[in-house]
Amino acid sequence: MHSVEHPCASGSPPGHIDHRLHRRLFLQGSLAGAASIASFQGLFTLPAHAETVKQQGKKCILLWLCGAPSQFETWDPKPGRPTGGPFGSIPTSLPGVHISSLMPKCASILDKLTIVRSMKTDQNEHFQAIDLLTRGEPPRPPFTRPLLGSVFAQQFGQLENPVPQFVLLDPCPEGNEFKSFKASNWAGWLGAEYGPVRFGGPYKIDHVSLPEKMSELEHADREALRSFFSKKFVNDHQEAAVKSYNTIFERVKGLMKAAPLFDLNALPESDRLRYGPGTFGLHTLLARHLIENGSTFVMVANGMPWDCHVFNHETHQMLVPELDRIIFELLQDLSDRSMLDDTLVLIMGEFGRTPHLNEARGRDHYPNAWSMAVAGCGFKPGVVYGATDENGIDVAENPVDQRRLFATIYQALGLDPHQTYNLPGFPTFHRVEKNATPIAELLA
Amino acid sequence: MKLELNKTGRYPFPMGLLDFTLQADEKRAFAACMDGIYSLDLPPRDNNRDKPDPHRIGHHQSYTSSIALATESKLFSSAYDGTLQLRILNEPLQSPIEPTLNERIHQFWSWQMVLSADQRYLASVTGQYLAGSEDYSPRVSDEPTVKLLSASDGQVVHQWQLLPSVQCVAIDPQSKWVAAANLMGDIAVYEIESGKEVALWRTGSFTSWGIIKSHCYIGGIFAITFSPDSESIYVAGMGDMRDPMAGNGKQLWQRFTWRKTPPEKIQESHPDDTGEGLMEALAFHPTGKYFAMGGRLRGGNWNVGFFDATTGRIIGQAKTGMRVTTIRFSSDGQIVYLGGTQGQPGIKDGKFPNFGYLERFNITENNEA
Amino acid sequence: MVKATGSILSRGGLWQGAFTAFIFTGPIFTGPIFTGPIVIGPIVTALTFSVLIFIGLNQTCTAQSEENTILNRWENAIRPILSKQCISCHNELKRSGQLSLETIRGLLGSTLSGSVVDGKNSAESLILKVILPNAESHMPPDGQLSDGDIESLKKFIGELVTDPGYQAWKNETEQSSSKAPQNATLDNYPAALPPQLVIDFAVSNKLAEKGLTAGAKTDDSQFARRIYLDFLGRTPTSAELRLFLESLESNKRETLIDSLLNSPEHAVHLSELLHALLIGRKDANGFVQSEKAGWFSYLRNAIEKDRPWNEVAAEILLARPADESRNGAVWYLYSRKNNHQEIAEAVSRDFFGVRIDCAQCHDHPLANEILQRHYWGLTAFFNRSTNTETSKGFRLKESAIGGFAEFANIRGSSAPNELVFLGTEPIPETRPAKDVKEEDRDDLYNDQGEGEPRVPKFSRRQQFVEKVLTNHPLVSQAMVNRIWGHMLGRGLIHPIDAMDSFHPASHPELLHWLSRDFERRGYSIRHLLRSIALSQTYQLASSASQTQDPSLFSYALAKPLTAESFHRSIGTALELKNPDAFYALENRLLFSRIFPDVLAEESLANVSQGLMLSNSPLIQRFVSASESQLLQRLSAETDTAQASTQLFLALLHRKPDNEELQKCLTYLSNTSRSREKLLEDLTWALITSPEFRFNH
Repeated sequence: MHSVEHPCASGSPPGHIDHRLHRRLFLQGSLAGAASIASFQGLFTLPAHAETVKQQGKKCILLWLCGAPSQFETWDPKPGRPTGGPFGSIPTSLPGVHISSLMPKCASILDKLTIVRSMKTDQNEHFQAIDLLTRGEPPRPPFTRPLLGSVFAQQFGQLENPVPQFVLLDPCPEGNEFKSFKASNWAGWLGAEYGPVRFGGPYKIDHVSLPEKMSELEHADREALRSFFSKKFVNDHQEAAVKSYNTIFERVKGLMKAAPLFDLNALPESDRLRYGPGTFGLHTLLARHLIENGSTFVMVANGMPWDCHVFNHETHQMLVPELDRIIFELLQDLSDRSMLDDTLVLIMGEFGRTPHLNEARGRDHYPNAWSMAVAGCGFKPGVVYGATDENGIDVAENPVDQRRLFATIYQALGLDPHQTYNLPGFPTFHRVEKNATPIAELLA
Repeated sequence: MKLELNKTGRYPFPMGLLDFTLQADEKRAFAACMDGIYSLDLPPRDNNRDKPDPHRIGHHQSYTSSIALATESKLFSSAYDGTLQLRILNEPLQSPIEPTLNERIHQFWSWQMVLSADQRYLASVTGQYLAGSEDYSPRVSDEPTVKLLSASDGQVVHQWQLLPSVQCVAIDPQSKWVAAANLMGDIAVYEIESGKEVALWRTGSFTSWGIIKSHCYIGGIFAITFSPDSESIYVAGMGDMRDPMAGNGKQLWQRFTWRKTPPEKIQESHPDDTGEGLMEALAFHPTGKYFAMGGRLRGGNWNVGFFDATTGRIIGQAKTGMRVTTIRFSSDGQIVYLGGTQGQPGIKDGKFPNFGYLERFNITENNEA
Repeated sequence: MVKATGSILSRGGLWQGAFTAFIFTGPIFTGPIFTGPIVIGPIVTALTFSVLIFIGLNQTCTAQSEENTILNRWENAIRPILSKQCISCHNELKRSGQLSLETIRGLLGSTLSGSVVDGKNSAESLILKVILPNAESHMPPDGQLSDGDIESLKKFIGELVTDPGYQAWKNETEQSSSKAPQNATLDNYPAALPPQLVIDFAVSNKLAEKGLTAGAKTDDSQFARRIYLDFLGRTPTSAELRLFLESLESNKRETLIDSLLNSPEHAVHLSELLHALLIGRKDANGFVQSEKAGWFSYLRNAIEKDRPWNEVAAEILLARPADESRNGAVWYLYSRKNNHQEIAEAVSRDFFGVRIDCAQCHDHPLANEILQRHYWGLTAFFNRSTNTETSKGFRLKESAIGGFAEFANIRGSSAPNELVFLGTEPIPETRPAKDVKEEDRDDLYNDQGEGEPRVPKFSRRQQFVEKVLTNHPLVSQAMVNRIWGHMLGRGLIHPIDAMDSFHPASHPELLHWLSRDFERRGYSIRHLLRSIALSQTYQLASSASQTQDPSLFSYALAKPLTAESFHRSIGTALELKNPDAFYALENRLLFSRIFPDVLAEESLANVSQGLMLSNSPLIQRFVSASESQLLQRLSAETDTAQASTQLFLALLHRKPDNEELQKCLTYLSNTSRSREKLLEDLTWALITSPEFRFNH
């Protein structure tokens, strides 16, 4: 169950055509149109990309602030304004730039971060917004665009590496819209081998030890046999369910080897004290540990605690300082390990929160003007891009939608944002559609 | 007995009203609002028409959360910037009035501040909710979270540690005890004279750990009051639910006899009388025969309910369309004032519309069977 | 032929929005599927009928659009007033109080407070009352229409209700709001037609529209495996398969279908499926409680006796079992532990095929017909009920009073929770006045005798069953869609619990026809299963040389086995010596935890499944010669080709091809390991292969 102000673009003046209907027709149209197209996801077994050079070494940690954090209580405070809320702002290591008083640690290292204050997207509902901001493009059924993490795993990952390339750390089994999203097809047309392994909370890696009296060699032989006998059936059946079922076995050996990596207790207590005690912090530490040891993309979430329709300030007072500390420690650690140049740290949610406070002491959804932050690989540190008006109601300069954001991210990683996916039988898809250009000011 | 309420006044304020106090003659009200401290000249009781404008007489750096009037001329206010201010009211009232006292008493918010009945003490509570464990139970505070100050000089008389965030505080009518309650449903009672903690217990009925979306703690107790004889403590707040983001609150109050060891719950609101909503205010009628609980309505029939002090059953209700933050009865018990806030509206023609309100109601008692 | 409901709001065509237009896309079918005259006739009639409607409506539309004085006045005089004072809350998106004042249609529509325009006595219209200066529930809350504006509005409404277009519109909306959807083609099929023919017709029809054809049919072996899995939840034994393959009966598939449907295993399998959908698999404790409550035996009995589904549904939702043998029916509601909202969400999804979770806080953002009042209305039907234990077993006692509340949307405006659900009018009920305390009196109840809780004379649960559930079109449709999804791997509306306006059916007329047929045949699930199984569509082969849209059903979809089916199929194939140990509760729970999907929208595997199959002690123990008679037997077989072939036949119901046989022989020729161990590996490889894992 979710809460939604408007089903689509907010702020439409009276007299406009019913947006709800418009979008429904659009979606119906694409379903009806696509039905006559011959091919479907999971058709191909090998990713067919023009780029043959595998970029080495790039990694990413996505701190996925699901539910959507309030930009007023983080990167774009409006102290003293009627929309500002009760928290003030503090100066940062960037002259003239202030962020929320709840983030003193990030304030001291703002010269290492890149902030975008002018995010402007059009999805107001959780599931659709999460989908939009993690894949970069609205859905076009029946084709499923892969998540950024899957693209990463496919471009930079090594499938032979026993450590899972794409990991989702999220202990929350519930989460309504986010739960539905977690059950959807993340790897899309890239294929199930680029989907995530999930860990955290009840999501443990069970059955990771070799069966009794079986050697590793025997285990491998047996798997090779299974793989052999599966080939024909997999080739003859196109359902994604079939393909994904076959693929998981390729991961088994790797996960068995990599399982100890997921043991938080094996990490030094001093590390756990710096990031913890909360689960989100501990998982961020785990994310750092995983990418140090071979993972390519780790997405860290903890349900949707940022969705503060109720008690926004009462909950953000706890969530933001934790986030502040985690970002500080993570960037410190990555820098100490000389990993920051090759590691992208993305800090964002699926939209922002309303300037006005509702009756339940909360802020509601707001895709109209919101903030996100980045650090590392390819981004220019110490940049604050875009601005909102004095009350934070609208973007005042340099609006950024998810296309331009993704274009910038791909560019920062050294990938051509407009590269096409060469998928047999599919319409032409690009990494980023509509020729959206990367934002030069954000790139190093 | 049944109560009937009739609204006789509704006075808007630019921003949400979190607390208010009245002069004894009810000719003037002082409001603690999100954007400062306001004075409002109240029309006489029989005047339903006039809507006087409030005047801002001061402000804090953040939401003014509590306000109290001592000896009719000493106006105390506390705020989310952790400060306590005192303004001496001289006629005619200035706008603004410079505070004679402006002291930082907490590092974090003053969630609530109250003046004792004998006007000798102020109690203020603080505490920032911070992650204290893997499951996000609160971390112990760096500063004392309950403070008792002298109303004459603002000096600390006693201070105590209660787990953050301590969200409400009360001093009993005899000015002998301080009670405070927090996010986790802990209730503590302290003796003013000795400074000792004399009771501490927890009720789980007001706190949520968001199983569905938010694996952390939300809610807790937001209103606390002693009974007229000081023997009972009443608490109200959010209510325990699986998905605090969605199902928003329970119209629940609980009454404890705090002198027992351990303190015992002796009464609570009846499920037939109550619906859903976030409750933030409790107040006893001067006669002690009934009390009011109010807040925000989420699902049900009222956002302010009046309960018989003996039976605990509902005897009157009002649905005011706003989130009620404070309830005060007139000293003769014939009027009840409600302070509160609606959802903040969007900007309109370049201005932010009013969304704080002070409302006034006549109380009529029907003494049928 | 496609029917489109014109609901696009266009400023010029004020009445067009309300009409239904029939648009032709060409001939209905490219070639006769049926040559009998019975069938052609009604279709032709339907065609003609539709043409006339189309022409008739078109003329009406044209006539209306020339008459635009009312429109001009709306545009120039009324709309600006409403835009200024009312639209910020009463717009198409926000719809405060369910009222939109952006269009004339909105003005005339029904709202939370009823219609704001009184067609018979326009001066008494509600909208005119609330805008008066001293009105109760004054509108707008913080403003006031000028006297001139009020006059204009009054005059306009007066003219509106006397306009001829208004009456026509009123008739049209009254017709279209009736429960049954309008269908022109399949609706005219004789009711006596066997459903399997209708299915094949509808499917091939749609394929033909797209210039496509269905794929090949299954061979007997494939068919047998499929039908055993769908009906019994396990693969056939070698003996069963051999019997079927060797039979010379000309309609042996039909015979097999019938014998399986009558088998007790079928009742077990289908009841497990229903249980997973209706209550969901829980932990060991939950399982034991369900068992004790008689829930499983209740479901099994219902399937065995092919009890009408509408009767079973009514029994479950009324939860007042006629005798102790039906006690299990109570468990559906009882297991929800008085969580009335959870009950509402479950009932809507399980019996009506519609998810209403989104409508708790506001009207559904994507499916317009699902409103907040439906969510709270459905909750209200059950919110007087509480669990109780009696000498007769679990019961739900019901109060005669209480359960009145208002629900607020996220914007804070609230409305009373009337007894209403999708597709019905609110059930009249006296609401107590605001301050009145209801008194519970004995005379409000009827006693039920020893051990049974008394029943209110006005029982909300009973009202629900009688006035909402009974004959509700979604009830039959939900079960039809679900059974279709089970058999074909994909619902006609997919996902199966999203039968709302945002999810169109792939074959809407077929779904409608099958639902009516289901009703006509006494809601018989067995008849439905049988019919689908007999269709050619169901019996299509699965492998496809080119992929097509799965919603066209031109080939059979590969369906992952449910946890129970997978577990049972492994057990069957292995010929276990100790089946009890294999099927112990903890092992069943392990399977259901690792393979949780049941009729999922998209069933994607995760690596924990691979780990479990590869490393769990359970699999290791039973895929062994010590536990499996098959393996014991084959281990003694010296002829490795024979052993390999037997293994394939036992596990995959086919012989290995040359390549596969070669692979087996090579593997088995390894002398450093025992024949037993090598065969275990082979067995493992085959039962964990997708060919085994999926029904295809």
